[in-house]
Amino acid sequence: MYSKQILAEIKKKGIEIGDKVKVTKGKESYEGTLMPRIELGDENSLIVKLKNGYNVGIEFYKAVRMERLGKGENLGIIPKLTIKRLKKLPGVSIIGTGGTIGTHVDYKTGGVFMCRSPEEILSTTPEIGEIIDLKNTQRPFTLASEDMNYKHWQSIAKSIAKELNSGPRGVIVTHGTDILHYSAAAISFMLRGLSKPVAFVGAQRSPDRGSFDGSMNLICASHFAGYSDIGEVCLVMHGTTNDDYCLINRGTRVRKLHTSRRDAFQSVNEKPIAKIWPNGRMEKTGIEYTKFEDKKVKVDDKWEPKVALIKVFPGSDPSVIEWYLDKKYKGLVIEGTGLGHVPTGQSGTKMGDFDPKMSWIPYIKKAIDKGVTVMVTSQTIFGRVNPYVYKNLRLLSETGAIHAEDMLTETTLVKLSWVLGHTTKPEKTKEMMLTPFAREINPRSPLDSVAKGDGFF
Amino acid sequence: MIIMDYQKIGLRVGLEIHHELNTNEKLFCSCPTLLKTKEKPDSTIIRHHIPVAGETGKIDVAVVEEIKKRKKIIYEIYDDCDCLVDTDSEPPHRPNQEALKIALTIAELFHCSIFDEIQVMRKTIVDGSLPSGFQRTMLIGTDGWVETSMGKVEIEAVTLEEDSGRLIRKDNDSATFRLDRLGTPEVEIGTGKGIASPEHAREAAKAIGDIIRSTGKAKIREGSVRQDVNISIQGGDRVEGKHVPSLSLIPVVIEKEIKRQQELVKRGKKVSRDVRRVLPDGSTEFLRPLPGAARMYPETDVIPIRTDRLLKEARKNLPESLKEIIKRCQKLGLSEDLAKQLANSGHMELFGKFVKMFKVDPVLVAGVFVNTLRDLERREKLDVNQLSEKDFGELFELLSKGKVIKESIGDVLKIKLENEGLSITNCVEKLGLTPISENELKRMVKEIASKNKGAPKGKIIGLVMAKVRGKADPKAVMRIVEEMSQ
Repeated sequence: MYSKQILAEIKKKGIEIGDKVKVTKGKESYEGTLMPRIELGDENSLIVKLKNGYNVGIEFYKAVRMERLGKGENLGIIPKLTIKRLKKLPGVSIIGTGGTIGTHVDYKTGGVFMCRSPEEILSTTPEIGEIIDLKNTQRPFTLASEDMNYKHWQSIAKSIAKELNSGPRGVIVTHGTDILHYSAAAISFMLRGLSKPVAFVGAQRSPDRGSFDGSMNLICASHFAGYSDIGEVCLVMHGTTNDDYCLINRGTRVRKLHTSRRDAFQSVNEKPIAKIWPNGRMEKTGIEYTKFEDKKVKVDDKWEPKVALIKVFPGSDPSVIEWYLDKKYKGLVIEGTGLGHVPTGQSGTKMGDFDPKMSWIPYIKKAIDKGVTVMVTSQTIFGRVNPYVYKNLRLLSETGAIHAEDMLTETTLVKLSWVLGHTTKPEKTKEMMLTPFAREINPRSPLDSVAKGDGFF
Repeated sequence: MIIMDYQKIGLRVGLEIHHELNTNEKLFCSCPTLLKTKEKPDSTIIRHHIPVAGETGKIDVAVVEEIKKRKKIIYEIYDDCDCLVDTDSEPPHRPNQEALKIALTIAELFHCSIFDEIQVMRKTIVDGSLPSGFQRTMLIGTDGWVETSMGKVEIEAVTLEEDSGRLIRKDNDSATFRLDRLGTPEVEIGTGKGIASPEHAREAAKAIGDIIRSTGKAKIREGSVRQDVNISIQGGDRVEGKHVPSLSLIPVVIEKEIKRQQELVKRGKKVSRDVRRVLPDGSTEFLRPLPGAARMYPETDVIPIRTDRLLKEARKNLPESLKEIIKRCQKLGLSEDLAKQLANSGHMELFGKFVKMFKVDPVLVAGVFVNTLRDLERREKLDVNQLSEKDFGELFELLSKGKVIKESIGDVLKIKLENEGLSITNCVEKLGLTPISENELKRMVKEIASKNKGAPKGKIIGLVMAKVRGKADPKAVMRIVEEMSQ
C-alpha cells in the first residue's frame, strides 16, 4: 500500500490506480500508468509502468507533481478458458483449494491473485480437455496450504466424496505444496471404502512462466484419475527435475523433501506406486495398491484437534509437555532422534553434566498416566523406529509410549487426530494406531524403498 | 536508383548494445561467471515449456497444436557455474550489489536520470534460452546521452539483466542450450535520436563501448558483447539486425539494409517488420518477425531496490575517462597506442594491480595483456579467457624474481592453456625454463669460447644462445661474452 501522503495526493487530484499519469520531479518527468504498490519496498515511492514496460519507483515528496492524463487499460483481468467437453472421455472432477498451482499473476500489475475457479487454473493446461471429460469443478475455499487445518480437510473430503458418488471415476485436487502431504494423509484416512483414484496436485513454480511445472503434473494426474486401476489417494507430481514423468505416490507415504525443486515430493519407506508420463504411459513399480472399483465412498471425518507434534533436540527441555497437558491435549507425537530416542540421562558414565530434570521419561509417564496417547517417530525421516535396541529406547517404551513403526511423522500426527476422534480409550487407540487404515504402515521393510536414480537421491 | 542522402531518405538508426559485466558472481545467485569449464557438461536436463496465456487470457489454437509436439529443451549444466537458481529450481537470491553498482556507474557516465527505486521485471522469452521462460531485467536510468563528433546521441535506456543460455544445437524436435553463461549480469544500452549516418552509428557504438569498458568492469570474452542495429527508412519499416559481430560491420549492415528496403519499395513491395540475422559480409537474412512489445511484469520474488545508497557509492568512485587513463599510462612509460589498446583490453584493473605489486616493467605488463594474449588467441587459437588473475599474478611474480625471462612468456602461457590443471610455476618447470644463474652462464661462455678459439664474438654469442634459449636473457649473454673477450 502507498503511504497516507501519496493516497491523499492521489485522491486530491482525482487519480485512480491504473490511470495514465505524468509525474514531474525537477527537470525530469515520466509518463506511464500508476501501478498499485506491492507489499514490499518503499511505500513513499510511486510505482509507474513506463511505455517501455518497465515499472520504476519515483520517490514522492512535496515538490513532486502528479497529473492525470487519462484512463489506463483495465487491470487485474484473469485469463479464462471455456473447456470443450468430450463426453466419450472418462469423467473426472476437479477441486481447487488454492496454492501456487491455483494462482494467477496479473501481467499488468504483477500482483499474484488466487484463481477464482478451477477453469482459470486449467487455462495453463488446455490439453486436459482431450484427456478427460471435466464433469464438475468445485472450489470449497482458496488458501495457501500453510493456512489450512483439519476443518479444511473435512471440507475437501466431503467435496471429493460428493463428486465420486455422483458419477466421475476420479477426482483431482489442486493444492498448495507446503502441507500437501499432511492433507493427502488426512484425506486418506477420512475417505473410507475409497476405490477410485484421487490425485493431489501442486506446483513448485508459478503458472505465469513457460516453465510452470504444474502443467505436466495436471496432465499426468488427468491420466491417473481418468484411466488408472488404482483406487487410492495419491500425490501426482514431478519425479525428477526433468519434465519427463510424474510419480504416483501414496498419500500416506509421501513427504515434501525439498523447499523448491519440482521433484520435492518423494515416497518415504516405500517405492511410489507407479511412474506416469504425460502421454498416459504408466509403469508400475510392483508394490501393492487398492484396485479400482465403481462403488460409493464414505466420509468418516471425526477428528480430535488437541494433538501436537514435539521435536526432541540435544538439550531439549521436556517440561514443554506440561504446557500441552495444561491445555488438555489428548495426543502427542514426539519426533525423537535415531531409532526413536528421547534424552533420559541414563545411558552411560560421567552423567554429571546431565541435569536429571532434563529426562523426558517422567514427563512422558505423567502424560500417559493422564490418558494422553504418546506416539514416537524419528526425525531421520527414513526408516523404522524400534523400542528395544538401546536402554534409552526400552525406558521410553516402558512408559507406554508407542513407537510408530515405519510411519511418517506427518502421517502419524494426522492419524492420531483421526483415531482420537473415534475413541478415547488408550488400548483401543494403540490398537488402531498400529493397524494400517490406508497402507500407512508396512510390517516389512523392503530393501529398495527409494526409487533409485529418481529425483535428487 | 539507390539514394544515400540519409536525411532525405528519413534514415533512423537505433543501437542496442549488450555488454556482460565482469563480476565474480552471477546476477541472482552466487555462482561464478565462468564459461564452459570442461569438455562435457556434468549433466543435462530436459524441459518442455508451456505457452503462457496472452494478456487477453486467450490461448492461440495454433500454439496449442505446437505444444502437443512437446518440443524438448535440453540444458547443459556445469556444476561449477550452475545451480538450482539457474535451472529454475530455486527462487532468485538478492541481486548482485556489485553488478547494480556498475550499472548505476554506467548510467551515471551516460548522464541518465536514475530512478529512486528499481523494480526487477520478468520479460517473457519463448525460445527456451532461459529455463524459467523469462529474463529478469531492470531499468536503471533513462534520458541520457553520449558525446560524438556529430553531437550528442540520446541514450534512451540503461538496463541491467541476466544473460541467457547459449544455443548449442537445434533441430525439429529439440533445442540445446548451455547454461554456463546464463545469469551473468549484462547491461543493455539503447540509443534514441541522434544517429545521423551509418558511419556515425559505428562511432556511437564505439563511444558507448568505450564508456562501458572505462569502468574496468566489462567482461571481455567470447560473446561478451552483442550489438543489434535497428534500421528504418521512410516508406520502409523497422528491421532489426541481430548480432553485428564487429564495429566495422555496423555501417555495412546499415547500408545494405537501406539498399534492400529501397529495392523492396521500388518493386512496390512492403517491408516487413523482421528480425534479420547478420551474415559475415554484412548482409542479412530473415530470422523471425519482430516481436510486439515484450510482456513484462514484476519479479515478485525480489523486493524493489532503493538506489540512493548504491548511487552515492558509485558517484564517489566514478572511473577515469579514457583520456585520463592514457595520460596515466604514458607516465608509466607506455606509448599512447599501447595505452589505448590496454584501456580497451579490459585488463586495466589487473595492469594497475600488478604494476604496483611486483617490480616489473609496466611496458612489459601492458605488452602481455595486449600483444601476447592477442597472439595466443589469433595465432594459436587458444581461449585466453581461461587465464585467471592468479595465473597472471604468478607469472609476474616469477618475472620479477628473475625465475622466468620475458622471452618465454608466450610459451609459458601457451603450455598453461593447453594443460588444464598445471600452475604457471609447473609450466615454467615443464618447459625447463628456469633461468641459468650468472655463474653457470659464465662457465658456459668460457667453455664454448675455449672450444672455438679465435671465433668472432658474434659466433660465440650465437652458440651460447642456441644452448640457453629461453633460459637466459640474450642481453646478459652479450654482456658476459663482451666482458670475457676483454
